[in-house]
Amino acid sequence: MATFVTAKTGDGTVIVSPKNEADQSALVVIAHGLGDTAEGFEDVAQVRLLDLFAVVVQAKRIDSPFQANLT
Amino acid sequence: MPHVKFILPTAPTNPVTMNMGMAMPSWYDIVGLDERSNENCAGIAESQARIAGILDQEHADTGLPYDRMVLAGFSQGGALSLYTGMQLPEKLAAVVVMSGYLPHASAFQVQQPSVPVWHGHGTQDMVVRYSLAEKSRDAVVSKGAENYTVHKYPIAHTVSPEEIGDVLQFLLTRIPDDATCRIKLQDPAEMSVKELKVAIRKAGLTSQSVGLMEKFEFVKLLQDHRAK
Repeated sequence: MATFVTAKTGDGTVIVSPKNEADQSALVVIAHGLGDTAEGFEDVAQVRLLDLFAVVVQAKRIDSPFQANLT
Repeated sequence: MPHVKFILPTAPTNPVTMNMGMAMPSWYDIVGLDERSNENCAGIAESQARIAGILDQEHADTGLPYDRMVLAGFSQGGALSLYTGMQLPEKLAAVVVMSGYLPHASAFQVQQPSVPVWHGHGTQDMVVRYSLAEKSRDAVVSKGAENYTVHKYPIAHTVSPEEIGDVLQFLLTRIPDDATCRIKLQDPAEMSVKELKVAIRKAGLTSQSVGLMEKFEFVKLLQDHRAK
């Protein structure tokens, strides 16, 4: 059973909250790198922090001729 | 970390000078990667205000103290997190920078010197070079920061499982679960029907609410869920 609930706002912000929001006692805001978006997090961000950062890495590996310039 | 809410904003899409004007999600324009170019960060003030606004909104909505909030980011996002987190009027729990740097250093002033900064960086990073991590640390410390640590990893412009594990351990020391810091939620009994429906949807209880007709039933569903 998922322990998180994921929502997305109109501006592309992904929000991953404890399923029981009364459990929340901290907040982490994660800003992606150039050329990425938060959307790639949506499917897996509910799981745990490790997955979030794994997605950051995946999202970073853009197959682009401009990859070397992405920061 | 089941007690943590994550907010993952998406940057606006704008032309990026360094990438031949190609439009892409970017927190600010990048002219080049050398230190002089890092002074030209058109749009960073707007992104700084947006990130600060997210924190302010969370505080206003839930009463969560700022010292239970962390700004983190990768590369340009890490740079923005550092730039924003150390210049806030409120003290955060920490700032996490992964493969980032200090942007627009001439305008940067440390407002919260005791906020710990955890900076991870690959020694093989050819995009944002490792030396820039140490230079960023030195610059931020010279402006008053008291706790800025750089952690090196044998990787390129990415993060590794080892770094991820270290970030997680760091976060657990800065924002461990603390029942005394739980957010303040509106009492379901005081919510309008519209507010109840939003709260039930946010809690993933939509399917359980099917068939409920009376307001008190929605209130009880949400109250019971929170009491678990």
